[in-house]
Amino acid sequence: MAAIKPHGDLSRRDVLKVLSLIPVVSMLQPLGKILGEAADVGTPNVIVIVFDAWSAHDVGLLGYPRQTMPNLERFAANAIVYHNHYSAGTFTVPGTASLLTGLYPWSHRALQLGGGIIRPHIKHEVFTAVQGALSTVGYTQNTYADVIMGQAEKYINNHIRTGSFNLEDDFLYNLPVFKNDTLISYAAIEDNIFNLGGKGTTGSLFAAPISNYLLSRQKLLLNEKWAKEYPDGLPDSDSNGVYTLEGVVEGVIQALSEIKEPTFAYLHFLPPHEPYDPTAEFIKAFDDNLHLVDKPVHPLAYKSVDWSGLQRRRRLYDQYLASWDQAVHKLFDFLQTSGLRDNSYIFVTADHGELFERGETGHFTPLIYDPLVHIPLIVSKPGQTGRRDISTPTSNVDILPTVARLTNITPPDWVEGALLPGLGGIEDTNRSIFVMDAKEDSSYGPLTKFSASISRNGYRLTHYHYSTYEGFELYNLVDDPEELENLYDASPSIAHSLQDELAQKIADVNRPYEKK
Amino acid sequence: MMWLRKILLQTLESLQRRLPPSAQVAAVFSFVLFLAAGYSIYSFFFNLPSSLYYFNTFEIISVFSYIMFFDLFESLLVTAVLAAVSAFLPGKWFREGFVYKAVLVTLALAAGSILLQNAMLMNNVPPLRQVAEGVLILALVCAVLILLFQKILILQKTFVNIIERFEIFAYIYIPLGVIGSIIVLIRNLFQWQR
Repeated sequence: MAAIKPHGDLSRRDVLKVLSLIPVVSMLQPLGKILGEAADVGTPNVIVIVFDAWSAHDVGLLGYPRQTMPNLERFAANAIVYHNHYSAGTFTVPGTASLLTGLYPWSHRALQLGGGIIRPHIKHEVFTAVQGALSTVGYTQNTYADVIMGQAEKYINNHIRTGSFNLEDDFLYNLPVFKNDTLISYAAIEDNIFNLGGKGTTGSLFAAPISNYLLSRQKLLLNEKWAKEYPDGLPDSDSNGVYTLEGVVEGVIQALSEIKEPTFAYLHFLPPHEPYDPTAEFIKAFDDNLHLVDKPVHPLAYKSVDWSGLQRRRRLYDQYLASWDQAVHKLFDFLQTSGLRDNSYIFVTADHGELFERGETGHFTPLIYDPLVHIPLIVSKPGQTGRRDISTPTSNVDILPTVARLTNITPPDWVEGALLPGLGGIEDTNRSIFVMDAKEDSSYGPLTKFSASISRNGYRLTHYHYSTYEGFELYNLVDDPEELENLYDASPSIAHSLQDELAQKIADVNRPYEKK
Repeated sequence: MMWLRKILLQTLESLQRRLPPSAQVAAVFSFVLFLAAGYSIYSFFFNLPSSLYYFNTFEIISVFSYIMFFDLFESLLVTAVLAAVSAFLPGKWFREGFVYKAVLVTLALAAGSILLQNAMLMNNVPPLRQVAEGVLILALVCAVLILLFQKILILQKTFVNIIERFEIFAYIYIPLGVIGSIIVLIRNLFQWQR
């Protein structure tokens, strides 16, 4: 190609050559635009759907004899089903914080009811990680989870108010005026000023009792109105306000239908969290002879419900789960018919499980047993056909790095999780999975009163470390899934190997706090 | 427009005449604030040990600020309602002896509120009829006490004397409420997550 002559010396041919390039150059801009749009269309959404207090032990898909969730099973027919997925925490605060940060509770330090993620890790929430790549939507019915999510408020493009889809919206803390300060406004307004709580009094002498009374009256009226559909009362949770299962599902569908650009959506439903209020259709379901194993009451159990009481509670939980499955199938159908399933990674999981054994019912307990921490994880890839089952152990700290990877972001180096197998990760059977409950410890000090467990190669070792009780329990989860035979003394080599690793881990995480 | 101004001025003057003297309103406000703040500080200290596990010092001060801000607001509202009632009722009913009458009503309101809380604590939502009966009983007790105080002047004088001494607490709670309001305002004007 002849060199272009210096200015003033251009030949007619050179000018024609340059002019001939104009249409090509002018085409490049729209082409770039078209490619950009194509890239946008190609960027998948990531939708994380969380059911609160949802144990893998009560899901037919994962081996439970009662068919509690047939609609979920249909959804899972074209998804990856993780059979050994664990929450790092035993209740909403640590469980949700681990899911959102990719960190274990000993790092994010959201350890107590009402607590939050400590300052160094706030910017590690998943909403921050996907900034720039995806638009973000956050919704949770659980106020404790909402407070944690609210800590990353400035990175959430659309933070849907907790009570938005409830029949009543009792909250003041999440009014837009307090959106810059949710953690403290919740503690002050809801915990101190308006809620009765353990102290038996509200902080406000005049306004709160009157407003609480009026709201309770309203609840009674709503329960009467919906008595045919919900004979045991409408689903509710303390200060969360009553709601219908269908109502929250429809609200979320509406929110999802407004998605216009590649989005990360975190949608955290309260069901099947207690109180368990099944619909009329399921109120007599599971009247079977399912015999649950009777297990001795644990010395650390807060309650001591007898075996028949636990059986009744579990049946009620299953009925509620079936009611929830019936309601949530509309969401699964919407994901399919709207086309979202074709261009989204959809995670369906829980923040923690639920326990009905050893005297305990629910999840407010220092105990760590499989039903409390073994949670479902089902991931549908864009346009996936057919089901894939993965049995290697995974943890909810793996969600954040996996989401980052799926959105073409390098997983941050501070995460304690790994990429999920089937989504860029490897099936590592030797991996150690941890669970921690330290609600009696300070977020700003070393861990001194805790329950912690480590699982590896099919074994789980749990260390209960309290001033009133010290003990180790080792179970073979493959041969003894009911965790009945403590092998701590019988298998010393396995026990000590796991114990050493756990002790080392706790020593490591405690080190920065020791001087304080 | 002169006529409108005249009507407005007359209305204001009449309202001013009907409202209790400001010193009396201030005495009642101090007492209401003392009750409201004392009650919520008790609640705050009940929650404090658990808060220490997950909040740092400034966060705990912030929680306290919200509470003080709310107390100030609530007390102003209650006092305003009491003053408004005195403006609308015949002077002899409420405006004369405003301090002891308003304080007795406040005490009845507080007692009713605590009784309602206790009923609700037992997971019991009292029916409207029961609440109305309770309100009626408290109103009667209040009316009897007001009559008693009207008849026995020494009782009235001693009571008002005691109430006026509560003004000292206003010198603590009003600044705390104002500082609390400023902290709440700052925390919500700016992005103030941890």
